[in-house]
Amino acid sequence: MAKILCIDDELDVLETCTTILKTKGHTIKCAGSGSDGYLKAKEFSPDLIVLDVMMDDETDGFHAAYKIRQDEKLKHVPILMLSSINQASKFKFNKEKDGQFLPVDEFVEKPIIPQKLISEVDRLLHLSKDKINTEGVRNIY
Amino acid sequence: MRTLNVLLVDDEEGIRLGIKRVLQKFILEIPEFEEQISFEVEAVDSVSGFLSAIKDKKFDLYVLDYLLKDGNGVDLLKKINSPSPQVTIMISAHSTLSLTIEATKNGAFDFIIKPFGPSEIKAAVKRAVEYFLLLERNENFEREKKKIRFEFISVLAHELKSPINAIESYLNLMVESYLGDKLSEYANIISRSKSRIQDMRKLITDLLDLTRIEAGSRNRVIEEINLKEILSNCVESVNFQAQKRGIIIKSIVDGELLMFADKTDMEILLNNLLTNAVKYNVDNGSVDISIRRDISDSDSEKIFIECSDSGIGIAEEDQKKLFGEFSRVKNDKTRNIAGSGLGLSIVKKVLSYYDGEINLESKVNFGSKFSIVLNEIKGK
Repeated sequence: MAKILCIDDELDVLETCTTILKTKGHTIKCAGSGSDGYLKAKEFSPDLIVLDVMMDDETDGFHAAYKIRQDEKLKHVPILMLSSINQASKFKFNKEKDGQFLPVDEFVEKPIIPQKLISEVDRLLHLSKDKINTEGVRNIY
Repeated sequence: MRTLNVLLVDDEEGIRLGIKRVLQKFILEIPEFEEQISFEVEAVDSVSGFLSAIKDKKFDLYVLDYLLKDGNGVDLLKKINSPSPQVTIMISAHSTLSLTIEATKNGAFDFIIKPFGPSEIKAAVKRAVEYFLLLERNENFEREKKKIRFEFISVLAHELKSPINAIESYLNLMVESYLGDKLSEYANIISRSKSRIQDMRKLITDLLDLTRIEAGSRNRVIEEINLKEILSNCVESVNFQAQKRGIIIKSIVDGELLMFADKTDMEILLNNLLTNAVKYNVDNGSVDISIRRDISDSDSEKIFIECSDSGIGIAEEDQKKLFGEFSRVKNDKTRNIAGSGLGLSIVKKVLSYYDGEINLESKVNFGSKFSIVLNEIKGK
């Protein structure tokens, strides 16, 4: 059971994520833009953030990610990014290689496949918990 | 001041020195292009010299002699196949018609015949530079056009991809019965999917409209039409949507407003204004649309259309972007409103036929007023 914040300007993506993640007993909050998402993250202090690339604003998703990473309280929260980049460019995210300039932990492709979303969310939550257990602080970043 | 690079190939040293001296002192004013041009000349005496010169430098202007010790100027012409604009002048001592034809076929722009003086070189170079600038301007224009096309298509791809992704994500939920076994649990998902499909359909029709308008393929018929009648038809077609939300549409037209225009153009215009005014309105809101002729002058060809609503309004920073393609104001209030983002682009395209203009006054939470001025098409 975790607190998850979903940020997307598309109502349908929020709806889909909420439906899927609720079945796993997570508490979900939604935000409709990068800036709103950042504010909600500060008050909700989620365990994980599902963030859309938000192509309509071109960089809104990434801006939000950078802001979250620069925030003392939020910088260790894992970010799962939703995108459909792969459909166009066959881009495969590699945390080791691309994590340097893309401040997120994993990419999930749209259309959302429920099992894939759930397993990535679980993986990131565990990873982040392990870090807390072993290091006493969250320090996955 | 701009410098053009010239490559001169001639096996006579006197000619190389002469042309170099003339061009390096030459400053050419081309007022049509607002350019002042100077020249940087590199001179070589052979085909091999030419080949090594073009290996690592881009030249804008070539001056080539026909007879060289290790080849001829026409062969060189064939080797100049850079994609960027360049212009070639041929020098020849024994101009024959067949040589001229062969050189022209291979891209030579002009000829100077030996013996020649500084004024002949300058005149030929001036013609060549003017042509060069024209080629360049044309190329920039083409490049810009391609870029706009590309941007349009990538945004379009995104606009089509997101509803498909949304619907497929919903279907994935259904396939795995995430909301249980009862179909009624999926009512919201189904209705959202249907609304995204409607969005897509609207986008496709708008896109076709826009393409037809741009390509000029639609047969426009300019005839005397009755704007009052057209408006009342348009009001009728959006009234169903309006009444469902308690929105009242009032239209004011002075008498039978007759004008020379294409009927479909006017329908597209009025339909777009009205559907926007209803879509972006609040429940129980109002829409006022008026059409009138310039009253200061009874013979005036100007028609004014004003459409104001009591809707959600448009923030100042969004107003600037509004008339661009696929521009949609995205916020909590517009999230559930279907739209292609092409409506106002279409309006603008239609207005361009009538030397028209559209202006917007808007205040968030108070409403928007779109004012159109158009000029009747006379001479029919």
